[in-house]
Amino acid sequence: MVKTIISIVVVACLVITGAIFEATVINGQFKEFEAELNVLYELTENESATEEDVYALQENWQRKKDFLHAFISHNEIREFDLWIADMVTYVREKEWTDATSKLEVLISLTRQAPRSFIMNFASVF
Amino acid sequence: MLVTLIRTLIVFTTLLIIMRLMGKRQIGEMQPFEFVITLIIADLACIPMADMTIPLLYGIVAIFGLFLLHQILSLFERSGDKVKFAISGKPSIVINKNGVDIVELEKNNMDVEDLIEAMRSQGYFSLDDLDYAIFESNGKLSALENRNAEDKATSVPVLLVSGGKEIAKNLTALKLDLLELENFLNEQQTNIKNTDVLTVDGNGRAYLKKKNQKYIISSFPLKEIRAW
Repeated sequence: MVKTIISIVVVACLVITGAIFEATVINGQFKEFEAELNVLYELTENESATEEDVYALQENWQRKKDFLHAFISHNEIREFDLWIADMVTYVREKEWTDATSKLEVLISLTRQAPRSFIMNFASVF
Repeated sequence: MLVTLIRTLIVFTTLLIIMRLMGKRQIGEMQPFEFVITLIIADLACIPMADMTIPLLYGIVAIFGLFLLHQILSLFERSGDKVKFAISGKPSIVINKNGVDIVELEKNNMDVEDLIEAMRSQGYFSLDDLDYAIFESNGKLSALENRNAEDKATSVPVLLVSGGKEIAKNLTALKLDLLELENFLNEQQTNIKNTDVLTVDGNGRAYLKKKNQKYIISSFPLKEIRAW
């Protein structure tokens, strides 16, 4: 009986800690990334974004994604990779309208990704 | 390829630890909830192990979740009989001193054929070979042999009536028609509808259990007595 109770408490603590970690740390990573995307969005809107700005964003994303791979579906991460890679081309070619639309999609993805592990009706069902 | 191997090692180790923590019962005599857990756990382990696009953590957390559920249910089970019966069900006495208990069988979604099949796997071929037969909550049949049975069956009995209905294919197999069956039952002062169980073996030895009465052993007039 004692052993069972201990195992329940230990596993429950592990799961709760994991859930809190997921909700704070991973959410934080996406919030950070969203802030970076917003900065780039403003620069793109002002038509002053450079290839280096996008590369910097891409590098930051690479660092984050190594950690996020453990928690987020790899397909979802691949989507970010593709959209960012597209961004590089559009900014290099100074196609600002396309670049902004790509950024909007990226911002939307960044907002949606953490929702899959936050407790709500849609993510449960 | 190496990644798959490492993922497999991690999932295997996690599963092994969890299965060991769940106890020995998990391997053999499973309660319904343990059976459900075992069914789910196999898929949970396989999918993230082979699909590289799914984080391994998804599988591991789900396995831990099932373990948590298992431990909580085990704890509830030990807290009282009512809870235990609600979670795991209770043993059913399907054969008692009066014979086969059709009502108890129906409660378990079983019929006499299922009972006979379970008995055969235990080495008992005739319904009167047992004083008591109990279907445990894990689905196993426990049997108490009838040591006073005078006239043991020497051939495999065939089920002719079960729960008030004749088994047509068995009648055909014995080359019997419905009229012969009804005549026999009339001699025994009953009819098909009021008969819970009737089995006949190759020597014409009949096990007859009328509704709400103790079973009797009688002799069925087979056309050509032959052992099968």
